[in-house]
Amino acid sequence: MLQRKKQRTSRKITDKSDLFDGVPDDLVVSILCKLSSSVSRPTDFVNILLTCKRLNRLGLHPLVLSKAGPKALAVKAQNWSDSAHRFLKHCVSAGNIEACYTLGMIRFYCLQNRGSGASLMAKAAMKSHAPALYSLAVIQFNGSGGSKNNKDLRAGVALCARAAFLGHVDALRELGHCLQDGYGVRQNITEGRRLLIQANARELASSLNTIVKRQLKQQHQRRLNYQHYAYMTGSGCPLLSDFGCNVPVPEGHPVNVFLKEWFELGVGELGQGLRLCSHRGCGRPETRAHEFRRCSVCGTVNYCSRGCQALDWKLRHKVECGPMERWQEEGGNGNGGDGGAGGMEEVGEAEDLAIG
Amino acid sequence: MSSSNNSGKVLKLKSKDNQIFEVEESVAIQSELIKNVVEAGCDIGVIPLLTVHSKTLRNVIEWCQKHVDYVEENDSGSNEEEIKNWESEICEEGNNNGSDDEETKNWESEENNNGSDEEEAKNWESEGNNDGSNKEEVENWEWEENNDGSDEEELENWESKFVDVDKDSLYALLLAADYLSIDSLLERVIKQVADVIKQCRSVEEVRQTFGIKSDFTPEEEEEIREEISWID
Repeated sequence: MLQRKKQRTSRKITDKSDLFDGVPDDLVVSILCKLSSSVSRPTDFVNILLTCKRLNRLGLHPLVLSKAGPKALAVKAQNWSDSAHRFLKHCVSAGNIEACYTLGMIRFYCLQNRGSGASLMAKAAMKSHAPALYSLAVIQFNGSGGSKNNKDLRAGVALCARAAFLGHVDALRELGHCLQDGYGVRQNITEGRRLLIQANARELASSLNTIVKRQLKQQHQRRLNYQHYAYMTGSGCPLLSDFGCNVPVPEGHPVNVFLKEWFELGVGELGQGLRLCSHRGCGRPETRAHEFRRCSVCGTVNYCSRGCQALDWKLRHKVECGPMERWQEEGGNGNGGDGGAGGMEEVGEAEDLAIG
Repeated sequence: MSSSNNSGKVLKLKSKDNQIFEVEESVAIQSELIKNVVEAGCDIGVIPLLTVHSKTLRNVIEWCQKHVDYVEENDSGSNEEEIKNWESEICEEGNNNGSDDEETKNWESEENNNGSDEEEAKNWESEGNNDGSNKEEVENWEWEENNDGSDEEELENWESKFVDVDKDSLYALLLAADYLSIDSLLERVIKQVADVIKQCRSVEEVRQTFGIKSDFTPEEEEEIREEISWID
């Protein structure tokens, strides 16, 4: 920790003296750490850097940067520049895990720098950053950045398992499907189903958490009226909608928004014939042709992972697609799609079973 | 509502402007500084707090008092203990792991015609479980409590009102909490200052709120603005 320094400036005390004047450096750093970790957008944090030299210096202190939360690092794709890159690198060297993950994703998918991107994500993954573990799993499952032969299903499952252990909902779903299908791991249908249920439960719990906090703050309402809330929020989380329990879709990581905007707004170029994952909240692009799997009924949508496929299915694809959907890999390596008696799509059936 | 569990010893604290405050020891030792003084045995007479003004000290004492009262009222520690004891009682009676309680043993063996103690414990436990497991019961109970506007929430609200003061008072509180080493107060004030910064919509507003004078040259400022141009 910094040594305590009493900043006694030689400035004359004007009628409005600087609040931070008499505050020692270590306290200011504590305040700025709290600030960087709790801001909801980068502007709120950066404002302090422009105020005066001292606050600028202390605001860029590694301790403060290392505590910056994901929202403080939420660069907008259209504003991407060298300075943004520098800032993220700064945070990475300060030891900020979120920055490692964010920059890793950006470098891997947007800047096409596979090696550096993956190693940054690995850095975050080693510190048990669940989204990083999950993203690396997706890369392994798809063999992203390499050829079809670079797929490593078992590595993918191992990474997914670690992320799932940390409670990452997408990873739980992905692992659940892998277990049900015997994909990269020995088939264990019960265990897979259990994980899918757990994923639903976690999602519900975290949504309820936010709902309850909001409501307690506003109205001290005791009973949660699900229907009322559904009315307020419109379309809700699909997987729980079968209960009439519409909870809002969980907030994604800011970097997914970055990826989506990067390609959709044309900031970066999507290679010839490559597609984005059709799940709106994902944003991942293919790194080679036919990397992602498509819905075999309509063939119009593609997904980077089962997790995305499952979510998108219930979110919107269910209504636009036919009742019989099969999860099938292009090139005919059918896997995980069989087993559904009566031609029902395995994923859908599994979900129903999970809920029922 | 302070209890007289402790010695009820009263300490005298002297503020910067020579005002004496009489405070109960249990309240005062929320401050690490005062705690160290007491433990070192130097708390005879008056403890001088040379950098804290009486106005601030009054507020600080109020904070400490509130927290002592809260802990006593809720005594969340002892709730957990009660639950643990209760749960372990259940397990003990079931497993009979060399329990010292002879009576319990006798009672069990009388009842126990059909099988092992463990079986009985299971039956007993599963009876309990029919009403929703013990843990669940406890959770429900706690949740009901919370429904009345939990005490924790009340404390949070009280704390928020407490730090909702003008800049000068906040500043004084910050320095006092730091000097006296009162973690809870320091944390809350830090959070409050961070919140105030967050509420400012622009750099100018931050400067105005905190009375900061910019000491950048126009070139330096331009440089910094460029570095952060990636913000909207």
